[in-house]
Amino acid sequence: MQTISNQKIKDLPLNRTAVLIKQNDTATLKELYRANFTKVKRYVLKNNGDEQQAKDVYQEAFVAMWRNIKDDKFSAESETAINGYLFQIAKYKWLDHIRSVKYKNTTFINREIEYNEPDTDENEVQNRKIKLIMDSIGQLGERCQLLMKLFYFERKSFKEISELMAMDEASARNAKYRCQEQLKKMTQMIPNGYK
Amino acid sequence: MDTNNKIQNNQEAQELIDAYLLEDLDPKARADFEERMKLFPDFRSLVEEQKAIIRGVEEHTLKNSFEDFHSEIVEEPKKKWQSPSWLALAASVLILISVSTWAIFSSGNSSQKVFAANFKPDPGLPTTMSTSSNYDFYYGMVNYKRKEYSEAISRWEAIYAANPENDTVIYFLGVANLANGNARQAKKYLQSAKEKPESAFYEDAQYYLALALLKENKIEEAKQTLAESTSPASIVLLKEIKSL
Repeated sequence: MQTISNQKIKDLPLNRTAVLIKQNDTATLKELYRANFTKVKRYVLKNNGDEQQAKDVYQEAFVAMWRNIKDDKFSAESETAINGYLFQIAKYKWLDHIRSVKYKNTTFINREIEYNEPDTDENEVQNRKIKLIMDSIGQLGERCQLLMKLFYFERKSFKEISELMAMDEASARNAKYRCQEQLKKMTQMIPNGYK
Repeated sequence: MDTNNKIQNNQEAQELIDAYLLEDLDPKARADFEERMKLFPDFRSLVEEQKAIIRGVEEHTLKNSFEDFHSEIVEEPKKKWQSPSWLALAASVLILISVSTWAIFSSGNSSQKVFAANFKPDPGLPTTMSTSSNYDFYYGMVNYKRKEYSEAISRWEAIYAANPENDTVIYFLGVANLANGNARQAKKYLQSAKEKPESAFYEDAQYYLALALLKENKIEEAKQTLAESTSPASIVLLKEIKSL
């Protein structure tokens, strides 16, 4: 695993950080998380929120930031620092929350940045599918969950996985295939996208 | 790979799609792949489905990592170590400490030396997960085996909070803390592991508890801990301690 010091991450050009985020580099994600929470917390506390709400809104924002970087919706050439981007998302999410509590029917807010892509039919189906998958992963056996996590999140090779899980490489390959088929079956959708 | 128009949903296809989505294909193979997607909508939907699975697994894992990320914020003290003079001071203190540590411990036999010569973390349990239903525990074990002790500890502490009587968790929390340099915390867990004579880890817990005590220079207590031990490793260790 790559370890990046605090100073180093500050000096990274944005696109380098974006690449590391896309690869789910744990050290990078953790450092980004650590570096920005306090500022968001201060903002939420100043605006009638409590610590738990700050944490919730921050984690939502973090996922939104991660998604947008994965989908290249946040341009890496932009001058805006990624830290600023994350803060902005959290801030707008908090403002949305306040507004939705205060005025239940106010929906449109003129934002400087969009953090949620307006859903087209196609990506609405895809998003629903992703959600369904996330809801179903927990029903897989632990061995399957770990395999999928090592392979897709940590981007480990089958060789590394076989070492970590004390099995040979071919078995790791087969097991991953079977786990994935199982997950697919659990999340099979009828054509309109509803289960 | 069969490149005719038959769309196969098998392991080979799944691995090829993985290679494409995880950007492991060379440019030529990539171009072929994209061509195939254009020609065969069924193949394309297979790719889309696999893409959703990858994203689902990733997002699920990310969200599950937040507690771990968050726990590091709370503990962090607010200090600025940026200025060069601080760094210089810190460096010189560090040098002073290491020189004096060396001076103290390189002379004669010492408890630290016995500790260093004898401490090897428990190799851990196999992570095949066939015997237990606890995913987090085994993921912690994967961390432990990779020597990511802090991560293993934070995973196991969460389990410990919910199951304070689980002897396996208690024992490994003890060993992981010791491996992580935190003898005091290790002692706490190993002492409670030692109170469970029926546990499979009982003998090993005594051995590591003695080492934790040794690390804290508590030679007498370490001797007492091993007094009734019968395992060969403990007997050898006791002998070495007695010669201190």
